[in-house]
Amino acid sequence: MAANFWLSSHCTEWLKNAKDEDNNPEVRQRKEKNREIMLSDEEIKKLRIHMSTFISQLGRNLHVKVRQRVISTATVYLARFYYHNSYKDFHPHLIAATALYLASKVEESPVSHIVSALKELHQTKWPKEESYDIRDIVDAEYFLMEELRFNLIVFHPYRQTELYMKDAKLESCVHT
Amino acid sequence: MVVKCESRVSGKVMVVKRIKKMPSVSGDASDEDEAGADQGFPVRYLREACLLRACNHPNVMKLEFVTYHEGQIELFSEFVGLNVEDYISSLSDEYFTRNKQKHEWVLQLGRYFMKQVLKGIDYCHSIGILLRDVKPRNFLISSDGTLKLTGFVLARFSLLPEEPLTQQVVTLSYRAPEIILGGTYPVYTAPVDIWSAGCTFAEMITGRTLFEGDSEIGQLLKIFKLLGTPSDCNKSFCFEVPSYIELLPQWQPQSLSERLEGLCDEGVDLLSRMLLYHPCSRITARDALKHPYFQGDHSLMKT
Repeated sequence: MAANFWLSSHCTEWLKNAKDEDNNPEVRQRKEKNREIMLSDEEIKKLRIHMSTFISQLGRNLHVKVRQRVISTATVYLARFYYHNSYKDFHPHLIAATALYLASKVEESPVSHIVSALKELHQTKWPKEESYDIRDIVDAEYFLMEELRFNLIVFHPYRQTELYMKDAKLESCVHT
Repeated sequence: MVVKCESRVSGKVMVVKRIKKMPSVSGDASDEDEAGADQGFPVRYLREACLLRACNHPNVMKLEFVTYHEGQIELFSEFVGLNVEDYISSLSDEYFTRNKQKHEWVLQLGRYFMKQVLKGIDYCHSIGILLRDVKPRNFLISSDGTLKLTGFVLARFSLLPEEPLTQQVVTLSYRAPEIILGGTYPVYTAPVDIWSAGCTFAEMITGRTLFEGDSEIGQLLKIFKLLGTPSDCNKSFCFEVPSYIELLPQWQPQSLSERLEGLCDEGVDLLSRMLLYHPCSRITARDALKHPYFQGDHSLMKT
């Protein structure tokens, strides 16, 4: 992307480090809430890995089929959302599906069948659990946008990586 | 619906753009038939909101916040003032006739506003936003003479598109030839905004739309009539042009300075660079700002 990363909100507002985290009351509150449902930091880490797998499974579903870029954007949205909020308050599956839905719109390839994909995934993995319908996603969508403070543009280093690999004469390793 | 309002908290005067979402097709079948169901936040306004949020420049309108309540979206932005289209039509004809003091005033204002237009466009291009709807209506002038860009409904955050873009962008009168000629999926990028800015420039000077076509082909004919039919098509454009272009009348380029009476030579030169057929040879916003036309002190004189 030919855009200027260093001036973007992605760089100025959303690059967090561990040091800031300790001083931020919002983050401390989130961590306490997470502990209430018996989630240690180690488990949170695992949950995050699970959720990004969940998003990419959802994105690769036959009904949806989005580009990798959309999946990556959705994963970033999810991470940003749970920076300020606790897993106790919002079901990650709903937020993940919403993030993917929103990301597909922002990246200009809207999907309309996200709910069928979500239902299908739920049926194969957790047949007993209720899935969400489109109304839940639409309701969560605005909330997600507000939590992200409308900073919806996310940078990905795909193009740069490609150029870098070319420079290093490793084009054959790149699958596009 | 656009309403002017004042914040009770900060006392700031703002403009609210209120959009009623289309009522979703209700009924029990909506779960099965998702295509007809609620689509959530409309993509156009999502684009406008997230791109305006990404901008921070004195010549781009600032979006304060967005609310969404029961299907009604409200975009709160700073209050600026009237748009350039209204400004042009508010001036009577004598402002645009030659050898009058008033015309001199219009020319000065034109230069003053044009500089800000280009600054705004340059900023957007530098952070990677392709505006795709540059026209007088989308420029707002505040009471202190600052001009701000708005109208991001069609904008896109990508100067190097990965897939073909749609042809249905930019109001027809300001649409660059490469979009009209590009077929169903033309390839275009930043220079289309410069073309539109050039048309806006001419409109501010003459008070009339530069190319006012009623259809796509009419638009092309208007352009060729003034700038001449491109002789070697595939050299003038960086893509293959449809063959019918050979059948069009072969016009010779007209003199721009005749069309833009009273405009100084530098201004005519700048405009002719902004209206070049080949997108790659068209001047960029950054270079245009360095053009001799903008050199020297051109601050507004109080009248």
